[in-house]
Amino acid sequence: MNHSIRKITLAGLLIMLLVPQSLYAMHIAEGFLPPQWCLLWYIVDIPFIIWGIRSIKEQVALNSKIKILLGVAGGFTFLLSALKLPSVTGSCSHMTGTGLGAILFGPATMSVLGLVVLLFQALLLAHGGITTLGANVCSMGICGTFLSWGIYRLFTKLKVNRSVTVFLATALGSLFTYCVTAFQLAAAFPGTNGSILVSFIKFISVFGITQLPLSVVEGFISVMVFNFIQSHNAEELTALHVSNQPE
Amino acid sequence: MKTVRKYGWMVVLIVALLSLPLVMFQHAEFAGTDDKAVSMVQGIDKSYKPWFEGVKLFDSPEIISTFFALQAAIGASVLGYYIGYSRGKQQNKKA
Repeated sequence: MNHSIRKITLAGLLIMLLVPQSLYAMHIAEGFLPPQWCLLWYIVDIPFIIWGIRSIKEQVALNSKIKILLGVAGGFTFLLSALKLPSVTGSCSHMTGTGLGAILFGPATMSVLGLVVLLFQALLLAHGGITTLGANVCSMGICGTFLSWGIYRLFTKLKVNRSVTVFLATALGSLFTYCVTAFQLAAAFPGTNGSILVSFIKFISVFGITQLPLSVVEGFISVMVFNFIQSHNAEELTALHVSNQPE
Repeated sequence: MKTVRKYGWMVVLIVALLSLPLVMFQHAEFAGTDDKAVSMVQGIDKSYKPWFEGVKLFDSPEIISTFFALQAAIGASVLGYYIGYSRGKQQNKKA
């Protein structure tokens, strides 16, 4: 027993050695992107937010009961992104919760909900920031949700088991969010020889490993909630074109 | 019972995944990772200084933790309301 604990500790220490600065994850902190990059990511977001607001209006008009599901998607994101969880790197990060909503409502709608959550966190929780809001909305609200939605659509077409599909879509979306964050930091802070790749590997080795187990957790939780919605709001899902495929 | 059989293993895995790091690093501070961004970015670009201090409305860690709890509470309330509402509706249909 004692032996195995020692082994695990050793493995943990090894991971810590491999990832020497394993302490930064989550959203990009206030002031930690140069101004031109902040501006760039804000501009990238604008069309998606406009598209998102339109798509929310359309979806709510489809079926009035969809409002409650919109609330569920928002609530889920609020809950999951408030929980900072420990990870195998000895630092902590949090889940995104946006993948589930992306499956239900598509990525555009979720970019708006992501914006709301990130604004709440930047203003009230000193988490993330106003200057980096554009970059964070892009990673969590747009890139991650697009991947989740894309995987869901593709695997549904391929007739992969529904739970497996939801799990992969949400888990990989969550992981991808932090890959994009790593890229955003690497692009703004390339290595000494100007190589974005070197910097990216540095950041991703931190973000990726920290987020990996949390992504798996997010996938499981999303599957449970999705299955509940499917068994109680099948009509609304059909209206949203989520479950018009056979189980 | 059906639910337990269906999701039991998931819950066990979730608990295992989240408690493993706590066992592995009993004395780690599980740092509020954003604060450590400085070292990583400045490891690459030594001259970089955050150019904006932000519009933090609150500075106290105690108050901030309250808002984190509030955020989770809002999310959980909405989910709880939805689950209760859906269950009630389902039972009404059966009756």
